[in-house]
Amino acid sequence: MELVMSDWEKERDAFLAKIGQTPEVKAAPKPTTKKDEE
Amino acid sequence: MAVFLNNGVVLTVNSVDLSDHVTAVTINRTFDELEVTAMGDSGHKFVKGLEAASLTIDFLNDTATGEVLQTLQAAYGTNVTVTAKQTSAVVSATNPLYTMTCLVNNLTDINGAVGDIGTQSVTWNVSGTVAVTTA
Repeated sequence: MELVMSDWEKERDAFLAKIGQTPEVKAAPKPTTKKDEE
Repeated sequence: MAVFLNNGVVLTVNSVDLSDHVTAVTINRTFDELEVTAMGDSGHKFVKGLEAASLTIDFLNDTATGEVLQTLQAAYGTNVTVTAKQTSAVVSATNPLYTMTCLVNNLTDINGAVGDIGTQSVTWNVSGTVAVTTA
């Protein structure tokens, strides 16, 4: 491993801030069970 | 030796576990090779440059809420966190977690001929580097 995780996260956060993409895109809610969709 | 059947990869896109809709995953880890050959050398010499990783995933398309198509549509054109590990077991030296930020692109929401399963094979460039953690 070349980067410790905290360094990787710091680099990622700086990058996302630089491109105006913070906070990260919210994930669509996942149904609790597949049955709910049927 | 620890060879394994490759049927247990766990993959998340933007924190959504899509593993049960993934049929293949390939992490392509490469970096630029910068030539530093100089006078007096009798062969080419190289050093590591910028990383240029990418991730290829084959999905089974699914229109249900929170599944493949909605998750990818929400992430389309943005950089999101993607994680992959070989098995669902706890992250360890023998089951490392690969974490990367991918620019979600190259979607084929509708794909296939009559009689086919709806699938899509995407390749995403990694923004930055791939972090490999073992704990």
